[in-house]
Amino acid sequence: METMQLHIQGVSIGYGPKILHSGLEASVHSGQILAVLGLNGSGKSTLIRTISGLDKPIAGGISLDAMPVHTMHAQERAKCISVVLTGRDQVIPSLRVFEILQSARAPYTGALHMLREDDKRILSEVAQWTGIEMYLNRALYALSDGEAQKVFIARALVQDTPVILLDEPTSHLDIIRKWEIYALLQQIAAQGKIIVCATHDVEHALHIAQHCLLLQAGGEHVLGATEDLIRSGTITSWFKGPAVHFDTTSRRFIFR
Amino acid sequence: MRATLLILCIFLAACSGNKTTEVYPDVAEPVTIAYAKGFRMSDYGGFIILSILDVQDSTKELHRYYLVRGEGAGYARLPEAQTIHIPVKKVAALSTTHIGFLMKLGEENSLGGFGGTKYIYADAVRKRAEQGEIQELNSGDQLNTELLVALHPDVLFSYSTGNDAYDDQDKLSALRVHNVIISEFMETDPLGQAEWIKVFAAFYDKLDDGEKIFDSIVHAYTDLQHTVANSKRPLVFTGLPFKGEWTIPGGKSFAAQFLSDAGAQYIWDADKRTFNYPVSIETILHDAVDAPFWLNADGAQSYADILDIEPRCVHLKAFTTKQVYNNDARVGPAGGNDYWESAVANPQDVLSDLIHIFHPEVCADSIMHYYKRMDK
Amino acid sequence: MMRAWKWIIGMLLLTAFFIADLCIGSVHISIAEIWSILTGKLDRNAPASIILLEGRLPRVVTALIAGAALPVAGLIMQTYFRNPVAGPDILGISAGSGLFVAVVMLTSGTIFSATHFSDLSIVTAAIAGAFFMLLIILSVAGRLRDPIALLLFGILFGMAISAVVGVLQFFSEKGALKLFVMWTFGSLGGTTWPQIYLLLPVVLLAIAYAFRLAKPLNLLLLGESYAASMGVRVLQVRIGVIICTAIITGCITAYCGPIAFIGIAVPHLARMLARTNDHFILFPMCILSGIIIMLGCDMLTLVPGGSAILPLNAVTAVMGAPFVVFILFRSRRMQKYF
Repeated sequence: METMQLHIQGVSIGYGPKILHSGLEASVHSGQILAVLGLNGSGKSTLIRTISGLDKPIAGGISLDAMPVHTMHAQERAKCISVVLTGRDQVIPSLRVFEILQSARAPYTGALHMLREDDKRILSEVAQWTGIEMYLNRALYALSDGEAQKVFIARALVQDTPVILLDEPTSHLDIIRKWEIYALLQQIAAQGKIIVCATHDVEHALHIAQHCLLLQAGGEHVLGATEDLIRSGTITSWFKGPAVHFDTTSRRFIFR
Repeated sequence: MRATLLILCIFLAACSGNKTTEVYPDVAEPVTIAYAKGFRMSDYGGFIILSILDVQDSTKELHRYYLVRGEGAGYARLPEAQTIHIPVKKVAALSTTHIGFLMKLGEENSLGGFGGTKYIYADAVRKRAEQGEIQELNSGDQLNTELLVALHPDVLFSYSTGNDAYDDQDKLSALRVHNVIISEFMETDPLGQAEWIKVFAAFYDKLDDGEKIFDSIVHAYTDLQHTVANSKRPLVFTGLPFKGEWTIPGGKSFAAQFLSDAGAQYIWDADKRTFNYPVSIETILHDAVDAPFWLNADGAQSYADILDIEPRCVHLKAFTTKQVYNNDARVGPAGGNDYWESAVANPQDVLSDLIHIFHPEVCADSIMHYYKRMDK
Repeated sequence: MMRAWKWIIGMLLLTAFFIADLCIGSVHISIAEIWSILTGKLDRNAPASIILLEGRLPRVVTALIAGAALPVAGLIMQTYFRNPVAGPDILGISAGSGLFVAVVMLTSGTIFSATHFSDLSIVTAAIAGAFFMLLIILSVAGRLRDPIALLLFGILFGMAISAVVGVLQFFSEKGALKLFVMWTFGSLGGTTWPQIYLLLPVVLLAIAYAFRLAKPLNLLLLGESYAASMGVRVLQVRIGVIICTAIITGCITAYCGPIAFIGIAVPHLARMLARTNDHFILFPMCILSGIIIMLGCDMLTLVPGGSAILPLNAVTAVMGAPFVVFILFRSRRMQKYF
């Protein structure tokens, strides 16, 4: 599999006149996971939306193998980048799982959305691989949060893009489901995908991400390899609370 | 956007191909019209051209009909939809005033269909309707077009909605109904309204009779007018409030003209309007408090009714002196009022009633036709 | 297999209703007679011929057009506004059309009423009115995420418009007023063939355009963000939705009056029948069931009693209103919006 590279160059993000961060830099290769870490309100979601092309960067640019993401035709971009958004409120609850998966083939089909053999093959492969094939016929409202989250990750896989962006993929999930999802992300990266995952589950993210981009509400940001960030104590100093601190050796947050 | 353009194109195409060439002799004898402003007729011998005009602007022709005598084979190029062969044998009508005109011409037996037969007053005509000789054309409040087509009348006399652009001509002409718009009620002069008898006469090819009848109406009317020309003019007002609004006729309207011809002074005769308009109760209480006569309190049967509707009417002089007159002297069993049927064709009788009310000394012995004093 | 049966039964029902609607009327015409008229064996000028060809056939064809188009507009709006109670009449779109038509119909002798373009001016006014209302609804829809709130807004705005229309009525002549009141009752019987030749292609174009929107509408069921991430150009779809619904609502409202409940109720019926959210299936299902219901309502305006003709909106409201109430209860209870 050829190696691709997602490049974030001098990007400023924000909404309206308010700039949250400026001069963001990052670069992710195929097979790697970049975790975007920060507390609530630090601009994680905005960054994910900006990388995906849903929002425009205020300055700078994002490119995939030197191709600028924001000038791409919408349908072409949809073949390069897929997203998994927070929660499921925005999705009509009576949609069935197979309908959600089928819709992800939209960038490859014509106006009548006729699915070819290829499309159907990818769909059933992904369903099997992610272990959701037994509830393909169920409606979204009949799924648990964990099941639903798997469905949305499967949806991104069906879209078959080199880049997958995730915004808080594990919110509302219990501890078992959280680990399940991160294990799944690791397997997906192993298949050669570029993954950018915004989360506030710092502990989990550190286990699977090769690089981390730390964001703070004030506009400060740090990029580094995960190991370096842990060893240098950067993680410990960024996520310090009166009741909790990050222990570098055990790589866990400890209550005191 | 594209769709809008498409509509425009279709319409322009439809309009450009629509010129009809009219070929007929140019020797025409115009029919004299003295009072009416809403129509014009020219007799070409083989056929009559009837033009329905805008009453407000007599130079504007709204509709044109060709009344062809007999089979009229020689005039094949007249537009088929507007061609009516006369004399007509079977007609349909939608307004009770049309029946009044037909009766005046002695042609009421040609009526084969009517919209709202229960409102017919004339006994003979109502009996024919009850026996099924006159087809009821209304279903509820609407014209039932299927019954109309099945009746297949030579002509349908209908009335204008008041706005020419929306009189439903297209549907009726598609159904091959020869629809003639009669807008006599829009005339602002009682004699102008009565002159429409000439239009009805033309359809029976009795123009001469029509002219004679109208001349006698004019004669009788003007004679009556002269009897009160120099009398003292008592003040009068009309109407009854409905939901707090009192609708009054304009100072230049048909109703105001009647009152003036009958030797009375309409309290708003300085007004320039030709149509009815609403005023507040306060205006009435202020302007009409001393008027000795009150006409057309439609909807009230008794003085108690009036008080129910508007208690403040107790301050009006016409109320306290019981000088309220309604035009309901002749009302049929189902509510058909002869005033709305034959009065338009008999303005001299209405005038005679009004003079009787305002100037009893002038014609004390005459009988009342339409009006009667509210006595309860 | 089940699916095919539904379509076959639907087509059979449509054909049966179509024929039945042609047979019902104030004047009795037998099926044999109808056949000989349609095959041209009977004189074109015979009353039965005229009644069928110029009276009933245009009415039934208008029912076909209105029955097919209104639910399509309703479905588009329900998906776009993500609101189960959206529809041309409920959100006040028809009321907006009505206001503009009232202005044109009740202000005689003004710039609006040029005699020869009377049809066109009503159609244009109705489409412009629908457009105007849609823009207003769209501008508040973002803030009123709750379906009931948006519904309430539509109803309140509709009431405000009725009040304005009432004021216009007060100052207009009796004849024009009666005509306008009749128009608000809704009617399929007023159209002539030339009007249908104008109405049909325009509405067909709008429906065809709606089919082009089926794919983006399917994606919009996952929300605007997901849709955009899959290549949907949301702004373009929004413009398409507005144009499509404004033309359909405007045209039908101009010719038939503000027909109530068909636009909102039929898409729900179609969803129940088709058991899917796929617009590629829902559009044809809406058209099929919409036509059947429209023909059924048209027959009911004539059937009871025989002599009287009921207002079309009385029939559609009696059938549609309880259905919409049912939809509201269901969507609340099951926490799923369609």
